[in-house]
Amino acid sequence: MNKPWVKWLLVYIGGLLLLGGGAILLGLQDHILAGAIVFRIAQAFAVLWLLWGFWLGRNVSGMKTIGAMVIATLCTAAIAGPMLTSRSYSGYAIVLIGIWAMAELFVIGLWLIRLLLSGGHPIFGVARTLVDEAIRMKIALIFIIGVVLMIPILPILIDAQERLDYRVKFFLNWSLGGMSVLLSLMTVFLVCGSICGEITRKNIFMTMVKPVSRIQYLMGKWLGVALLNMLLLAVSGVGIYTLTQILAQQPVSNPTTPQIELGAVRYEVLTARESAKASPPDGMDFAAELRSRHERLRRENPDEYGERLTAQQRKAIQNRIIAQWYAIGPHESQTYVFENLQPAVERNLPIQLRFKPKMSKAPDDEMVRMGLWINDRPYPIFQGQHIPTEVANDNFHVMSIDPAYVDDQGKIKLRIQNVNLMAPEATFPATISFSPGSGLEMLYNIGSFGPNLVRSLAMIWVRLGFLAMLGVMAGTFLGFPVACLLSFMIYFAAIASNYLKESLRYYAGYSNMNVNLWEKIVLIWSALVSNVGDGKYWEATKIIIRLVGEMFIAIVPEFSTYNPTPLVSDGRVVSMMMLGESAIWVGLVSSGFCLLMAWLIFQRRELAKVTV
Amino acid sequence: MTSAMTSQNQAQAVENSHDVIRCIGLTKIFKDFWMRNRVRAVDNISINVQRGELFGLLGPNGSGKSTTIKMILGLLHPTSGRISVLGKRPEDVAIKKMIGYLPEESYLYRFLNARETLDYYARLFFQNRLQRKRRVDMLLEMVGLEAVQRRPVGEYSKGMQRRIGLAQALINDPHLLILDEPTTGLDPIGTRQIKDLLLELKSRGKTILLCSHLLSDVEDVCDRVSIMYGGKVRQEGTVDELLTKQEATTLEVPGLDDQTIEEIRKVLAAKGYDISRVDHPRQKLESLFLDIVHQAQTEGVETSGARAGGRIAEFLSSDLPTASADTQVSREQVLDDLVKSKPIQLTEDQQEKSQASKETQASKADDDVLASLTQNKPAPTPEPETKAATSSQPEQSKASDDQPKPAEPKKPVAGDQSVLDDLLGGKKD
Repeated sequence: MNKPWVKWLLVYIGGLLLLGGGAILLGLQDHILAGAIVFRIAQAFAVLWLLWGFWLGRNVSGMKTIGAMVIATLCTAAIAGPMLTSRSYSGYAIVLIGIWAMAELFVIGLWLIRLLLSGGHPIFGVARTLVDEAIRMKIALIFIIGVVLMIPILPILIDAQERLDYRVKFFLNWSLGGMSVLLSLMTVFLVCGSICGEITRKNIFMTMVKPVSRIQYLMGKWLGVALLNMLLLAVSGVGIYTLTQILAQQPVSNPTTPQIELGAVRYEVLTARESAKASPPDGMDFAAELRSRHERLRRENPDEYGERLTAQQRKAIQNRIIAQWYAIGPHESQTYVFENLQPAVERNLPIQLRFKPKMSKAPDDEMVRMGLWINDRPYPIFQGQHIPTEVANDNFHVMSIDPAYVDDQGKIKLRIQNVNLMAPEATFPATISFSPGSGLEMLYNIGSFGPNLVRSLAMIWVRLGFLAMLGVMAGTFLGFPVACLLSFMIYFAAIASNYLKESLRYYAGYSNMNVNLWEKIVLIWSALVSNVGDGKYWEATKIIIRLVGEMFIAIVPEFSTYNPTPLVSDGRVVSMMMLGESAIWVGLVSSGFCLLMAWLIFQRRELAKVTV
Repeated sequence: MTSAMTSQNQAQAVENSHDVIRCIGLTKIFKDFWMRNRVRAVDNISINVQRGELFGLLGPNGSGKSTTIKMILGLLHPTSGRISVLGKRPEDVAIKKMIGYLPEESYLYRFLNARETLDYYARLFFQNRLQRKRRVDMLLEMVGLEAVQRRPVGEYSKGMQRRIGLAQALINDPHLLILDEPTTGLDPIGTRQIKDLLLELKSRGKTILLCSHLLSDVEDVCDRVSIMYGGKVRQEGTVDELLTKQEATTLEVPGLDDQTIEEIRKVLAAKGYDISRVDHPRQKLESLFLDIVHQAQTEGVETSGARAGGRIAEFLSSDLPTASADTQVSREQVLDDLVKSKPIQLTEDQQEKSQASKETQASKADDDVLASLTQNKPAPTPEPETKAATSSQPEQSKASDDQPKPAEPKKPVAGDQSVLDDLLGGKKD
């Protein structure tokens, strides 16, 4: 009874009963005003006495945090509540509520992580200390606050005059991209700072003289960052999902045809679409076409084209064949087959034909006119008439196609004719072409936005996990600034791996397409010898630079292949297959390689040796 | 082949011995970037620390003490030579369970508070939640940081950081305690407590390697010392062997007047001795300081810093050779006896190790002379500090007069313990 909190609780319960009861009694006796006043007093008492309770228990473990959370909730309710009712301020209220919700979620998640790491094991001990370091030392905290603030603030930066689906896309793109960048920076600074800092400040002496193996120490550091990243991704994910839903309810830019923008949001952004690429119809044989072209080129240029094509020549011919297949001359037509469309039939949702036609020479009105046939039937038909398809040149367009057009094999056959249906003689004499792949595709819904977002966040987590392991490795043998620099260099090389590969291919001239290792060595050697023999020393040096670059790229994971942000913002599916592949290649192989290297270096390192 | 066999033999020898730490021909050379020898920090030293021993490693700054310790802990690799710690290589993670280490500075996480710091180190020993809480509570009480346990360690004074550093070194109830300059930055009370603690731990059978350049610390507590300079061991032996001057004798009696001194001089002259120096012993500044602080504590003066430490943490087990590791009951009995036993009553002056040593070595003839001189005088009133020490004994200690005494440490531990208890006002019992 003498405990202060018992007295506090008794007064709280007693006060609430008394005031609440009084308000009800007054209300029942028709003293409405007096009842309302007493009710307000009861409310004020409830809040103030609660705050007093937190002040009393400020020395109790965790009470400060709970108190801060309650105060933040009360403040948010007091400020955002009235703002929500005002039309002009409701956006700001949403931002405020978003910040509040994300902050509270973060605090609860942090508590869960601490609970998870409360076991008596060195890995948990090291991990938990890293989490505490991240929160209490200011560097990591700045990034955390950045993530928590950025996501709710982004919606008010978007131009409200823009089309609704573009606004949602913009938000998804920037929130996911910005969050990835912020978390990447935090991961590298935190993990390198923690390991390098402990070695510099010698905290590590105290840990490594305990029964902690070096690998356990490294794993502990990784686990701490990985859990923190998981928490931040989860909090951000909830924030992004909620704000996306709120954004999607905002007014459209063109109120006269709201269904267009709302439909685009629903079927093109907040969805998970699979893409079906065009394939040639049954009668067409690319291999035969390749052979015939080879024969022709041999006849025309026997010095350059031998009996067997080189890998480079083969690739060049293949690219030309495909590009020609995607090009339709005036009054000509081309047929494309899209397969594996059964899921669209099962879900009974429209299929989207997404295309970007480009004319070799555009007419004055910059419009492309085509005739479409689906499964050999004219499309679209309006009042019995085959309607021409007129779209702006060199822009992406989406047409909805009824899933009923899909045949029993799950296929749709699309024929495109380069002709003006209204007046065929007025057909503009130019070729219509599509970029192979994304320039002409059919998209069909196979899932919803929520699970797609979760899979994309999981993929970002896998990438961050690799980055954390990279930081761990760099921290085992480098100082803080150099370790960060190395980590970022490898990270950016991973992000731009495809671009770098292409650049290196053009940087120094020797072909290595589709050749085995032995052929490659011979190729490089002969290129080197011929350049040196001809006195082209700079060319020879460039070959060596390219070789080093390619070796570097070979050990760097291909992040560009596993980047979910553009997929999610474009409403495309981040498949489980893709996630699994990224988990294996980035999460296990690349990260495992980094861990192995880190362990090999750290195992032999003399931690007490001062290196200047 | 010969070299391999020699190594095997050495390893075997280490495992069979009672040495907790054994270093043979240990050398550490630091190289520069071009792998040229830059500093020969440790030069072919051999050190053995035996089970239950309090071994001091002495030397000026840069003599190679800390480097040696870091090699023993596996934080540095020797350039040549062999090290065995508890029969294993220093890199072996398993032996770390039995080691406690306090580095020359307490390299603690600034952002953790005292409780979190100790909890973190306890986790590294696979301790469960309850075990951790129990030990952390005890250690915080022991080092007197209970009241400030929620403050971040970064805000602590150096002395407070040393205290928490010491607490973390004991979190695993270590068999081997390695302390590098443990009293650096500590106030005299803290210094005294650490010394008392070391003696208490030694009495419990712990092996302690103490590295210091504070000579009084080492002299007060160590059994054996090794004096290093320039990376080499210059001299090694027990403190008595190294410090006792056999060619001189000191007598201490209650204050004598000039006439009596003259008579003694004559008696000694008759025996062919001459008194080279006569003076009055002065109270040690340490004792005076401790008295003043004790007075302030009894007056209830507030302090925002560390309080006086509590009693030794109970989980710190006895590791005496007599206590069987298999029989938990007998082990606990020994521990209880140790905690409850009444310290041997000794005056402050008797604690002076060198004097005690000299007294025991006084010749029979000298005793006779002294007896004849003091026979006719009334026994002098006991020294005031002796009274104080007796009156401030904890009740439990008084009650345990009749209990069997535990294996007594070599040093006059009880005197130190009484000072510790006195400082704490017996409140912990």
